[in-house]
Amino acid sequence: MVSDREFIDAAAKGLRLEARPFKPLAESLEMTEQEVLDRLEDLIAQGKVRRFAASVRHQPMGFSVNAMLMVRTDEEAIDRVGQAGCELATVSHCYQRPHPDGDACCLYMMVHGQGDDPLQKTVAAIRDIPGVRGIEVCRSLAELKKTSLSGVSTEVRSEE
Amino acid sequence: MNDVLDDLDREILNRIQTGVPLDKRPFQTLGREFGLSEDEMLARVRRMGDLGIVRRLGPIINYPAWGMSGVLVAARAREDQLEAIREIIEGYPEITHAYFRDYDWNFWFTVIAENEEKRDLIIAQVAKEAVLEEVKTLPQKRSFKLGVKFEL
Repeated sequence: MVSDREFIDAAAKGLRLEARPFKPLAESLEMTEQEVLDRLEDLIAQGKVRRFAASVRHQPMGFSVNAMLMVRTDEEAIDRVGQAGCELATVSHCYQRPHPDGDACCLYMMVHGQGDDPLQKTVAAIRDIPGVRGIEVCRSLAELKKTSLSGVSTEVRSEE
Repeated sequence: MNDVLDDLDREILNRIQTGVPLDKRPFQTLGREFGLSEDEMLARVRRMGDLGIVRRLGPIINYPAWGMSGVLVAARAREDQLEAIREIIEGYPEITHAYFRDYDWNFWFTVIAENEEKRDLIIAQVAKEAVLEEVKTLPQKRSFKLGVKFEL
């Protein structure tokens, strides 16, 4: 039987855009299409795969602003601020991580939008959330890389 | 917003970012949802693929569930090293995102590797090769939102 790792590495290459896209994947793994579909459902149920979906690139769609906000909060307010931040449509990611200067009460929010206006509005909306102590806006000056891993076996892949 | 895509394209894009139907004819199933034939749906998704908007239809992997370790790194780099750093990180598939930002800590990147040890080794190698002045790893304590989709 194909291991989960072999399976996911093959699936991570992405579907061919054709009417029966799971067929070439199934053939490459010597499985049936139904077995491939069942295995994907199973990996999703196990939480090893979040979903089977399209990955998109934002720039061609006009998401010209890519800013990272570092939002410092009061300790007791961090959950509330994190949840409120998530509700903003322009915020794509929201994590608690330490600030590089060591402050643990820091939320990182990634903002995408077209032009400067959505960014300013997002910053203003976050500033109004009670418990926010300060916001630093880090715009991207240059994107050096934006990729995704093509599976879970980095060792195998880097030898290719 | 964007002339390249019509409203239907945008709706399809929002739909497939949340999931592609797991059945043998997913484009037929998607087509039915939007009142399109299988061929029409395929043509639209292919076109968005050709435009570079749809990068891939595939599994969104929950890396920690596979024992993998990822982290965000903030560093101070010399601005004139941008192109050199671009080349250096090209050699590391484990570095998935990297940006120069208009901030005191100006170089930010994400690393994901098989385990913490390998991850930290890569960070140390990059710091050395790219002559980074200061490096801080910023482990995630909690995730509130994980880029599901954008309303277009």
